[in-house]
Amino acid sequence: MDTLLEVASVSKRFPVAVKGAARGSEHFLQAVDDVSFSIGRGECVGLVGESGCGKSTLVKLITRLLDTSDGRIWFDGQDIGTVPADRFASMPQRALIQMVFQDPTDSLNPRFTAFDTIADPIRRLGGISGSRNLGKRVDALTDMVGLPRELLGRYPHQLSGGQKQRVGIARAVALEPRLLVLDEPTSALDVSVQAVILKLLDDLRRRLGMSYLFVSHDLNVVRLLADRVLVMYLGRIVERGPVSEVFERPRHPYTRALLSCVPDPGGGAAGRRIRLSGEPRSPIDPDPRVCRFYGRCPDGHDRCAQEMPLLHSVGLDHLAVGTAHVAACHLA
Amino acid sequence: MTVLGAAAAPLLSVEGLSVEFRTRDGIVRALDRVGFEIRRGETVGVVGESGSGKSVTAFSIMRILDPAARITGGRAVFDGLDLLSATERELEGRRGRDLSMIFQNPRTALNPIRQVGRQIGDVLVRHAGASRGAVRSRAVELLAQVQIPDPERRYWAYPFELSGGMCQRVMIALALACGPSLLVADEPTTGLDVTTQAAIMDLIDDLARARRMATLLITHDLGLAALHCERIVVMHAGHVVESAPTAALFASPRHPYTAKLIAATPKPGVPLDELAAIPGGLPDLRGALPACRYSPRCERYAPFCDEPLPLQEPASGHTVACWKPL
Repeated sequence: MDTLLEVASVSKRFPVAVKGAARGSEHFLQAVDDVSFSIGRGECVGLVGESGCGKSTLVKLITRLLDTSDGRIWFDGQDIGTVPADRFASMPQRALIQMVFQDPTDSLNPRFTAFDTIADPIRRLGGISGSRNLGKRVDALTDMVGLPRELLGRYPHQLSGGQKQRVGIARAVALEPRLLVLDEPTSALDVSVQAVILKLLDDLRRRLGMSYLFVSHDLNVVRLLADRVLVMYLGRIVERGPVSEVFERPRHPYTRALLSCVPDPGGGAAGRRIRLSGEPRSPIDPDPRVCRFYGRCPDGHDRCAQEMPLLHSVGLDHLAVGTAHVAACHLA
Repeated sequence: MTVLGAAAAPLLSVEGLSVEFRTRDGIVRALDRVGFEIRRGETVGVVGESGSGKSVTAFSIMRILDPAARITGGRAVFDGLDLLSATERELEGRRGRDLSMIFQNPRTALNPIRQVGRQIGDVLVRHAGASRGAVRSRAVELLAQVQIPDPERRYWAYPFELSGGMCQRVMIALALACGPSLLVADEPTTGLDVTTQAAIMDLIDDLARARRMATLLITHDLGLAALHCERIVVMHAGHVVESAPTAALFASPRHPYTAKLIAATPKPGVPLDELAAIPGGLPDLRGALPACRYSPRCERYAPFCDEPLPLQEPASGHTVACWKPL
């Protein structure tokens, strides 16, 4: 598959003040640590992990709202990682990477009608002139996301959750982006509309040939849309591979724990649930030799505290390098 | 209800609970004749979409409804006391001691400018009559019981210094401080990670079992309810549409809404195109409403559905409010 986005050894460190630290000493919160992956054209890649694992920081690096500390990001063959975030805002690639946010209420301007929300990116970056053309384009987008046109004059508080999310999706696809970052797009929605929105997203991907980075902590939902999945833990990717492989044969103990905690409605009694004890390690100045999961890992042993495990192939079949099933665990 | 159940009197019995809200645009009939029972040591789930009346039910039982709300009918008998008609004085002696509640968002439910240990102490002083000296060690014990690491130190923490999962543990410690016989948990794990969710739910399960505490679990997550509840009450637009033991509900849902809800919940092995959506939305609860509030969305609707709803009991302990059940 043709690669659209390539992320190579990307890291992000934030300087932090540490209580009681020696004066003049520098401390860093390692939010994203040496992350590499790629997204092919038309592919949907899921990104899962618990809150605080660096998912949101990684998304901000890819959408170029934040500058990286290390590493490269290529988009559509161009190195966008070295462009400062404030300059990226005026680059043509800006229009090609768009986002759908978690909470449709918080992410829509309360003083914009649905029409204005959808028209805003077109006015700013779309290069469509004349209100007739703009109106036509907005109508077309409205139809595309299945929003009744008579709702275009409404404000967010006059729309239901599902309708608001449709507005958010129409806004995101208005500029025909190549990459859409979906940040928990259905977690604020009721289960009754969740399926509709997921099907809409799946359908739009095929019709518009977009690639998705689907961020979610709901593994049952990720499974539905993603082709491949990345599992993140404390800033690092601990497992990566095709959805079916990772979900059926998880190799990293964290992935296993995560999957064992997913409630399975109708699946009867709780299976062998893996309980994680203890607190996650601190992301501030982490020891580069210790596995990040050490201390919480049910299988941890001495080597895990002496040598950081790196991603290596664990798949049954050795696929192309980028899409193989890999895990970062000494025991995998 | 059933012969078997008659032996053990329910700890909480809600009957005909109706609640209205006065708003600028008219009266919202949020709950209409809601009824269910909880026995000692039992975990009962209340599930439904947002706006179905789950939280209003919980708030009514705790009598902490918004001033715009009016309880227009019904009883909620808890251990011999009707909570709906009890005086504020009578309630004060029970709330926080015999029945307590965990709220959805621990960060907004905890006092942001008081150390968490002291907040637990406040409850102990108020209800357990603990002496000032004994309070601190008891609060630390409670923090340890909800598996907060380093409880001695965390006693002095403010809510903002703790993670969401830790704050939820503090709230559980707070709710369980006086050993209540009924815990009302309103979306206790919404917004938490799956691993944290599992840990919090295990904790509630363990403590409930150890103390024979009954739990009313309010959740929009059918999977969570399936995992932790013995019985499930399904709500839609202020009505209880179905109530059944968990296994029976999943094996043979009788109400069309329940069946849709189950089919709409993502689960392993079900691809996207098999995932159901529920057409339409909740009806406007102001003004005239059909007898069955699900009928405008229902695929099985027939003219006789407009007759006043029956409460059928197709099997023992399994009730459904539908003229044309599955």
